[in-house]
Amino acid sequence: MAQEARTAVPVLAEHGAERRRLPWYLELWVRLLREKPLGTVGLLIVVGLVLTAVFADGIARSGPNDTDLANARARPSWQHPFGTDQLGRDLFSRVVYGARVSMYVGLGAVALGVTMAVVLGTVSAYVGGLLDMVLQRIVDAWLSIPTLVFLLAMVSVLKPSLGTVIFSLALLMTFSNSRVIRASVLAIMAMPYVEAARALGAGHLRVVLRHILPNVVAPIIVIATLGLGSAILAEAALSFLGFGVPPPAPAWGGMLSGSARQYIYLAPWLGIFPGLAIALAVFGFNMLGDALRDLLDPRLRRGH
Amino acid sequence: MRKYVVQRLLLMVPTVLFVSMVIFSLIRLIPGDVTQIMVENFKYADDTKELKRQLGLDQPIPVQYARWLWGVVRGDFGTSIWTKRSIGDELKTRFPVSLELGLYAMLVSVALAIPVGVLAAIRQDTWIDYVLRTFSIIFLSVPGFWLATLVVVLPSLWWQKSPLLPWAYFHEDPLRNLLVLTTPALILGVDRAAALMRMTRSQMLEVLRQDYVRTAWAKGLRERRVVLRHALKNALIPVVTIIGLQVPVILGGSLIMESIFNLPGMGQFLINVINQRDYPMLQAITVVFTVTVLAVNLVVDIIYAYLDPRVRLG
Repeated sequence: MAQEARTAVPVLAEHGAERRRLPWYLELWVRLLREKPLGTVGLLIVVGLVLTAVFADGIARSGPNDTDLANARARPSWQHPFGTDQLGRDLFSRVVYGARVSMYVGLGAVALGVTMAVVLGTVSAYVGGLLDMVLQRIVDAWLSIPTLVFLLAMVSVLKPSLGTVIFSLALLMTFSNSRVIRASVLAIMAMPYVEAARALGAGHLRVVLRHILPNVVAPIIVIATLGLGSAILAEAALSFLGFGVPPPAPAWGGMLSGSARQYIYLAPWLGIFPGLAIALAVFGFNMLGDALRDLLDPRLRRGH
Repeated sequence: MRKYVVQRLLLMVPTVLFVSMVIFSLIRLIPGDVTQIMVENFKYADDTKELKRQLGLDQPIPVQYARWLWGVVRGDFGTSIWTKRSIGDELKTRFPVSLELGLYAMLVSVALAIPVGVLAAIRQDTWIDYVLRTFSIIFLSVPGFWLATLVVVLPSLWWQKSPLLPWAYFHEDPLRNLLVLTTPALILGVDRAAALMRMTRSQMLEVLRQDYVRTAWAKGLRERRVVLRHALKNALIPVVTIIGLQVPVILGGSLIMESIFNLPGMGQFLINVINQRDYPMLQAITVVFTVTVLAVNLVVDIIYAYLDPRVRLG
């Protein structure tokens, strides 16, 4: 259709203008909805998760920490769709508020981690030479520390809190993702238009900000989407081990951990719903990230 | 080839030094003062100054590091600040369990991922492909610790029988040892296999489109031969890289599995170490794990060099 508009006679130009291509960031979503049914499912789950987190106060039936000991370990019912836990707290409300904790951690870690990854990756690639070599060896070293051991060491040294978890996850994300950014920047630096910009006398800052970074946006979007999923999963694992967001905050992983574990034998629903919530959230981000990667990465587009 | 291995081994040295230095200073720079707890709650010494002197914590950090490094080079990791037990002995009994579980899980994930990935690729866009891919995304999203919790809890609810078997070391009863480790290794392996399978599939798709594969078909070779001999070997090159990158994740995951399945490895032990802020122990554990990751990665890279002659020669 777009081609028709372009070849049409000038009289129809006005008509054709309506069909002008959308800016790429809008076209991306249109193509996602049209071509990627699984990606669309992912998007719906993600949107649902965000809405749940934002409107948790309206959706939840009670506060996440309202106890009702007379009603402890009640089976799922109309009043308590997911049942209640050992303190009589409504599990449904806790899971709903848990979305908020997960989104805080996910967004915080991704915003911080991806920013640091972009800075590190771009500097390493753009400056090159000895600095690049040294930075890459440091990244190498960092990546060889087992993920969980590193996270546990960080949390043990800092005080366990929301901020600590976010910072530790962000640090982890920085090093692994700086690789991807560095590779993309290197590829873009080899493009003739970067050389042209330089030849026209553009300074380093201008080349990086105007010519290189806008072209790394695609990998950044993919990294951030998949990163949100893995950050949520990592936070859940940390909370599960008792080193995540400290209780009584309603963290999904925390609901499956520590003293709560022995009650799962008596009240299996306590073990089911928080786990399902984690799986669903991560599933959504994975599906969405996957579809976005297919749409944004021309190298992979070929194969699928 | 030998030159390559030696080169890689030498490169490990600065990496290990760097990691140990980071962990060492991280632990000391931030004041989560364990000596205070030890003196006030447990009467380990008369005052913190005295205790710090006993533990050598009153020295400047570089001196402490040099002392510690010298010990490690001679195979002495020091002692736990709480129990005074030799860290080396503690690691000797626990670490092999974690390593065994980690390697077992890696084996499971590779053995699952590669055949399934190849199958999905050669049946691209058929229902087999869709089913396999959907399952892989599901397994990628389900947290391993949750799956493990359900595997442990549900059987005891339904059949009043705990699925946890009594532990035996490999040298005592190899069969039982493997049997006990199978469930956690499967859960850990399936989780990792999902990522690996997707990589195998997309690489196979790319390679299957190349000219030399078309030539192989044109020569009239059988599908089996084209896929396994011609395509797979080249498709595996990037897959091997992913296997290497997953080693730290798998070792971390095995810690979680150990604490759920009650295995006498590093899992629960590390959690206790962290809760007690047993820093010399934490240092030793981190270094041992890092060296393991580097060693496994070296093996992976040697396989890589075998698959791709360009690496060896370059």
